[in-house]
Amino acid sequence: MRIPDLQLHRPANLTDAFSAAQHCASEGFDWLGGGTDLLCNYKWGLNVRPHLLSLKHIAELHDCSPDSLSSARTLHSISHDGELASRYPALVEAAQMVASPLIRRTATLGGNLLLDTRCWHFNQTASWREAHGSCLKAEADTCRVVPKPGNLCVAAYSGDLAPILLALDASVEWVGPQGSRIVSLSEVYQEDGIRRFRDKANSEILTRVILPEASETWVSAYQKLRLRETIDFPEGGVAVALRIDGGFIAEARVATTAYAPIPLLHDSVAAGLVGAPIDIQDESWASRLELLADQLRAQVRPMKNTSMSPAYRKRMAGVLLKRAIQKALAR
Amino acid sequence: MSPRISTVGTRMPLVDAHEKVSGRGTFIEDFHFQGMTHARCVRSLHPFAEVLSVDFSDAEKIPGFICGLAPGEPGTARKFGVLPISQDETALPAPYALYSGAIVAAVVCEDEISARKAAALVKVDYQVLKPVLRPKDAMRPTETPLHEVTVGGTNIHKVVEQEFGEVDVAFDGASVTQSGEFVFHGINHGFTEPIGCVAVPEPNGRLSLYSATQVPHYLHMALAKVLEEPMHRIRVYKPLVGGGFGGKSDPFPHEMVASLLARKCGRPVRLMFDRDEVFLNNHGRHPTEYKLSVATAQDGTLLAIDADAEIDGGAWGSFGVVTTYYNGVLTQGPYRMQAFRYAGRRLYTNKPASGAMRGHGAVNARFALETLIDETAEALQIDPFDFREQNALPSNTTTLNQFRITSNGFTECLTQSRKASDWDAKHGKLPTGKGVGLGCGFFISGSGLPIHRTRTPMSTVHLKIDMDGGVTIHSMAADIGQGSDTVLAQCVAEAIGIEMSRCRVLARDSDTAPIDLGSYSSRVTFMAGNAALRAGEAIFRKLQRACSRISGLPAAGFRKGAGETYIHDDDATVRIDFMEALDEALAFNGALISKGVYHAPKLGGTFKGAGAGLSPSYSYQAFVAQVDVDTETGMVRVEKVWAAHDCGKALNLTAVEGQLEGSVHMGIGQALTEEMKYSGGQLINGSLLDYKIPSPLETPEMDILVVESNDPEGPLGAKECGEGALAPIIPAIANAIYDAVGIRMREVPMTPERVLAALDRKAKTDAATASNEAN
Amino acid sequence: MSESPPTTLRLSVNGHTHTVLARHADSLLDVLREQLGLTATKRGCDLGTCGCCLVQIDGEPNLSCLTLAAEVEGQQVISLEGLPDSGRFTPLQDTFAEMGASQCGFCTPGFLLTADAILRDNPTPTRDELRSELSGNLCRCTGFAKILDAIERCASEHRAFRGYADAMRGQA
Ligand SMILES: Cc1cc2nc3c(=O)[nH]c(=O)nc-3n(C[C@H](O)[C@H](O)[C@H](O)COP(=O)(O)OP(=O)(O)OC[C@H]3O[C@@H](n4cnc5c(N)ncnc54)[C@H](O)[C@@H]3O)c2cc1C
Ligand code: SF4
Ligand code: FES
Ligand code: FES
Repeated sequence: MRIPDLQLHRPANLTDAFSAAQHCASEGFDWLGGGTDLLCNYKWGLNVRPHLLSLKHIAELHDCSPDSLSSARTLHSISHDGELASRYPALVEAAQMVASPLIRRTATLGGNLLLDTRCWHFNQTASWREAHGSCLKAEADTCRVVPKPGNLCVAAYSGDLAPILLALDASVEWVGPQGSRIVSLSEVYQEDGIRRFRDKANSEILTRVILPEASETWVSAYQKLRLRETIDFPEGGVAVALRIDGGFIAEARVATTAYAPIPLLHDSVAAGLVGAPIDIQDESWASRLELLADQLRAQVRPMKNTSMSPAYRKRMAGVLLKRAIQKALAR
Repeated sequence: MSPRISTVGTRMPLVDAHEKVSGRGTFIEDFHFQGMTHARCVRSLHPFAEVLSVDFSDAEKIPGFICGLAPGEPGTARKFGVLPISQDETALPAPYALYSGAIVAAVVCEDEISARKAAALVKVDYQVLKPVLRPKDAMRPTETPLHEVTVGGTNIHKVVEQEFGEVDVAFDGASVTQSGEFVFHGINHGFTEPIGCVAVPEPNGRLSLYSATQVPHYLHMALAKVLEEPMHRIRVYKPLVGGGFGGKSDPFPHEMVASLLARKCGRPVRLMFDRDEVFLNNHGRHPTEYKLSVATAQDGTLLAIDADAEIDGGAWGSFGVVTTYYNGVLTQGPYRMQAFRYAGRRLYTNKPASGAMRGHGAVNARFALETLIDETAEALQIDPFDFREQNALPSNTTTLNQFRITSNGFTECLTQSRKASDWDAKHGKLPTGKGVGLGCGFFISGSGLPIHRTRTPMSTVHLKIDMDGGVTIHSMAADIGQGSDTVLAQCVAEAIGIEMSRCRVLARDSDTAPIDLGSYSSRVTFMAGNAALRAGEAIFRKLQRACSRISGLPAAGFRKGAGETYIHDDDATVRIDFMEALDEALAFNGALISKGVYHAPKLGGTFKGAGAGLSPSYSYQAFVAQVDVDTETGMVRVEKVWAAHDCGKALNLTAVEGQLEGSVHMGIGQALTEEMKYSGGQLINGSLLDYKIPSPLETPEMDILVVESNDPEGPLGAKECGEGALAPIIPAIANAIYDAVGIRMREVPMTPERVLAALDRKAKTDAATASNEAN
Repeated sequence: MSESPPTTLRLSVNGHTHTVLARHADSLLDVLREQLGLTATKRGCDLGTCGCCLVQIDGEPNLSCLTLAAEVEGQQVISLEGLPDSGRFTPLQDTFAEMGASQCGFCTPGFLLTADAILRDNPTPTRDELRSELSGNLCRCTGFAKILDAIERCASEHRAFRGYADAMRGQA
């Protein structure tokens, strides 16, 4: 497979990066992280831009600060970070579940959060799309999954790190030519499989992920649905973070991935956890778990555009939630 | 005098192992030729369409464009196919494109990128026709059958009906009858090396085709037919091949396209497939609906089976006629029975062709039989092992359909896997969610009939030894990673009494190699191995005569001693070194040359279809799988496999185990995760991300139990071990799932969704039973 | 689409510096195989799934099909050809050959370079660790059993194990 012609730029620092971005703006460009998502799409001829701006050599992205994670960190390095694992075990476990060990060597944190949405009508070769009929997200003007006029793309956001970072209430730093801003991760996405980000300028770079200090004391877990224990994208994913106080759950956050074009927080499900005892053997848990599971099932909206059926993925949302709660409480 | 130390039964690396671990071995995509051009295929956008015209005018504008190939050009409509009875493939549509993704035209450019650009600009005008996508629809008469030769104006490709013994009587008299309807989805070989070829016009006007193929000889014949050239004007070269498993065992349209293009532009043409194109080429296992009934007497005697198979052949014939038979006849072992009925149909549909894949024709039928046997044993309250032992086919017998059974290690397979797996402590006794299951098998060790009616031997091996003392082995048996070159070297070394390191195998080039039918139907060890052994023995006889001239002792008394020497029965002091004997032989003869051939013995009955499944010998298996079923998600984990396989004689334990381990892995894929998925006529998961081959994490630890029955006709006692071992693991897993959670799986792959649905159905019936009992 | 002419890249591969004419869009796999004739690096899927195209870049395993050649200018690329130049095989290569860890051989370069990196980071991996570290490499022939055996044997014999990157440094 060959990527269509394009020009690669390798800025050495943010200033150069933004001037390159400005220079390429009219023709169009993408930022290149590890490339493990973007280059696959490029090989399929999907929305290829004439310019690629590499983030790999930008010095500022490699400055480590102890209270945040650089977006350029590879998932391999996160997976093997013992110090991070002692503070945020579920985050490290989620990183270990992404793709395969070889892909994780280059895949970055930033790319994972900003990963393109997926759909089997879309992630195909050009001649496949021509044969099958292309769609809104590529060369045509209808969605093949929900072919209603005016409908937005419902391709699935399938990153593994967003849900756990949402549950831990992470924020991200955007840096652009006009300066930097810090935004809660929950404010980053908008529910459209094509225009995926709220108020993000194309020239902005995600530089850091910031975890609130308090989240370190929360217990958390992430559960992923997939056929193989490696390589496969999540067909569903649920993260849970709980603040424990005096033997009871004092605060809770629940987030999902792969059930919509964006990772989602489920506040009402989380609310149902507050006040519950941390002893999972407590008899109140059995019915509470089932209730919450059903509640989450009612909220997720898997579409018929991934490998497993929507009905199964919906049903599993509840199972993943139960297991995530159990795992978090067992920490 | 100590006897010669034989390599038979030891552990050895493959003869080309260092070539491979160095990364220097040449696979098809590694070839570069002076002036090489690059071709790309243009593929059909429709499952069924008449190609009205192909327009290269935009493509021609790409710098570096050389030429295109379109339907209607010479050779593109010449029919070919691997079986003489189904010559239904053409290089390009003539004029019908038969599946979405079929090659409809091709371009050649100076470089690959230009070729890709040019191919994307080729305009094809189609008259779209209504495709036949479901086998049910293929049964109906139609105005537009996909091929000239079909059954009664339908899209039925082949019908097989066989009956032996009194099936209805047996069923009427049976105490237990179990029936089931089984569904199997199509699967793909999933070899790691994509398909491709390079066609090279030679200065002397000949054409060389380098291709990743497992059947160089059949490819050679098909090329001669399509190019309308005598075979000696064509040379086929098989490089290292990165796995085949049946997926490189047909002559393919792209090989014709590259050859026609090379002839047209007069330059070497490389045509490599991307992975999605490999899936579109398919020729994998047939999607199948299988109905089976099994009749058994109260004492556990298996009486009869009645089977019906409907197999979805896709666009072309390929090996399909054979597959249609195999779905029936390969159930004739490893059990004795009194009656057998089989009806099979293969249907043409507008999808990528199905063909031969490891365990050809036996796998899906085996699943049905082994799960129904498990049910029967349960109904009769007989242990599944005991049931099989009671009904085991003995050695040296004949089956109902007149297969000649010789060596047979089946009961030994049962004994070993039962013991190793600690079956008696586990079956029915593990906690809910965990279970063990048994699946057995039976497979051919080479097809007893050649595909083309021919009187020439099925395998021929030539040897040459000159003064350097090295042995050159010429053969066209196709090593595709299974290690056939190593078998040839070992057989020759054994026969002559020399170190294997003296042997060099040249089994790649049709210009030097004698005919061998290729690597399919697990025939190479048995047939080419025997030919190699005989060629080696011929050399040994020459060396015996040389020894006789040196020593004055009678030639016949010389045998192989330790360390490349020849010793004599009559005089213990005589010991002649191989090089000394060779020197004498060379002085007398010049370079030593010999040949060995293999002809299968006359086998089988005279009824219609009697040839199907005939083999000079058969392999046997008894596998146990232990699984863990997650009842909330339906996920099945295979925790461990015990695999006992009768391979006659393990010439090289490392290689035998490797074949069995690879078969188990592939079987687990078909059992749990792998499935070709279609939307309408379009394949939707043609990538290694979406077509889910088990990773190291889905592949369990395996206890490989090698059983040796020492086949009387196999080379040094050996028979097949590369294919039969795929089938039994799938029902072993299904039976283990039953042992774990009490559900019977009828659809393969047994994905979490299907397992969960079966668990739901069970919960419902259990609840209904409970409420009935309560009332 | 703007047509960008090929540009000159300076790549350091197996200790040698090469100047090649390539497109910015060309993957490292394309350039290694098509421009430099280094064909030990295999193309199995071209989409990051099979591990056949693995190389080491500055000692790190990397899928060359998902790496742009132009991105690795200034870095040290090592492919399987990198070592046998010394005329000998590494213990891993020998053990793979001896123990049947390579059948068709197509996945072998990727497994060797992955195993090399695994053992460098973790000289005594457990079998389970090995399974998960190898879970980005697909092999269709061996069922992985002999591959795991060979790497375990190498690890357990503590055979003077030199990672590729170290060996290259030694050579330079
Ligand atoms: C076979 C395979 C399996 C996979 N399985 C999984 C899986 O199980 N789970 C999973 O989550 N992912 C999976 N992935 C996807 C991908 O590998 C990961 O999500 C990875 O983390 C993406 O990171 P990257 O750096 O490679 O992203 P890139 O491909 O470089 O970028 C992805 C997107 O983010 C943008 N981008 C990247 N970094 C920045 C930044 N700092 N600022 C602004 N924009 C940026 C890019 O422009 C691009 O649009 C898989 C990929 C493959 C090929
Ligand atoms: S959800 Fe609809 S628009 Fe989006 S990628 Fe799939 S088919 Fe296209
Ligand atoms: S070719 Fe790169 S991972 Fe398959
Ligand atoms: S040895 Fe053939 S794919 Fe691994």
